[in-house]
Amino acid sequence: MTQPNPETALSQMERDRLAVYVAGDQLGTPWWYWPFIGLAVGVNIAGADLPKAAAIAISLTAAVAIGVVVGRIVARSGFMPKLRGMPTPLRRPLIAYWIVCAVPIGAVAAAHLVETTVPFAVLGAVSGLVIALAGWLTERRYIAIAKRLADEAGLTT
Amino acid sequence: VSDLDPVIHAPKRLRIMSILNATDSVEFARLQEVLDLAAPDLSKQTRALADAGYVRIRKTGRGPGSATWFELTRQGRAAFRSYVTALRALIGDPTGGR
Repeated sequence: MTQPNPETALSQMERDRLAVYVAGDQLGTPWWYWPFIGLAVGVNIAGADLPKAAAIAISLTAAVAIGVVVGRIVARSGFMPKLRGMPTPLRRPLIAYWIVCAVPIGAVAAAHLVETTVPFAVLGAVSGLVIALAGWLTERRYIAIAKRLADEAGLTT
Repeated sequence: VSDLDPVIHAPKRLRIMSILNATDSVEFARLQEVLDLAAPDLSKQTRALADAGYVRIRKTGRGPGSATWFELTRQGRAAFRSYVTALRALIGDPTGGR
């Protein structure tokens, strides 16, 4: 087995680090993934209008369902991403997504703290829509950037 | 070069370590796809890394749906960091790398 010279080794390491995030056929999620996440989060929030026991039951069910689905998506992609290991251009849309999602989630948190006439059903619907739509758009952006990076690095997608 | 960790310095194992260092965990088929290695070869290399305490091997599911996942141990991450620092020092790059 030939030992790599240091420059070649470092260059290959950078290529491999990139490849795991940009190459392969499993970059995207199924069409139903983001609608499902939006629905689960929305129902979870809307449940706050219901009696406490029902709200807790809905919340637990939604959390388990999200956990199962996200687990399946990670298994399908074959890797668990790490923000620090992710190439910077791919990290940016994800950070933007979290900032966008923080707005409706912040509004829900504020509604819990202060008296509001806005029903949680409405907050849940808006939050679910924002999370699903922004998630879908973020994913499209991620795939476009991943393809560009893969092309630039000469990696097969 | 002789000071570099010989377990990591082998080209295939270095690539595996590099990928695992950039992720939390990677499944066997994904690793095989990125590295373009035969399954027995990948098994042999990951086993060597696991024996050195650098990689943790985790199996999920049973039967056709089963999967094998790899992740770096704390010791593995530290060894990889040291390796990259040593490698960069060899080429006179003071950044130390990741």
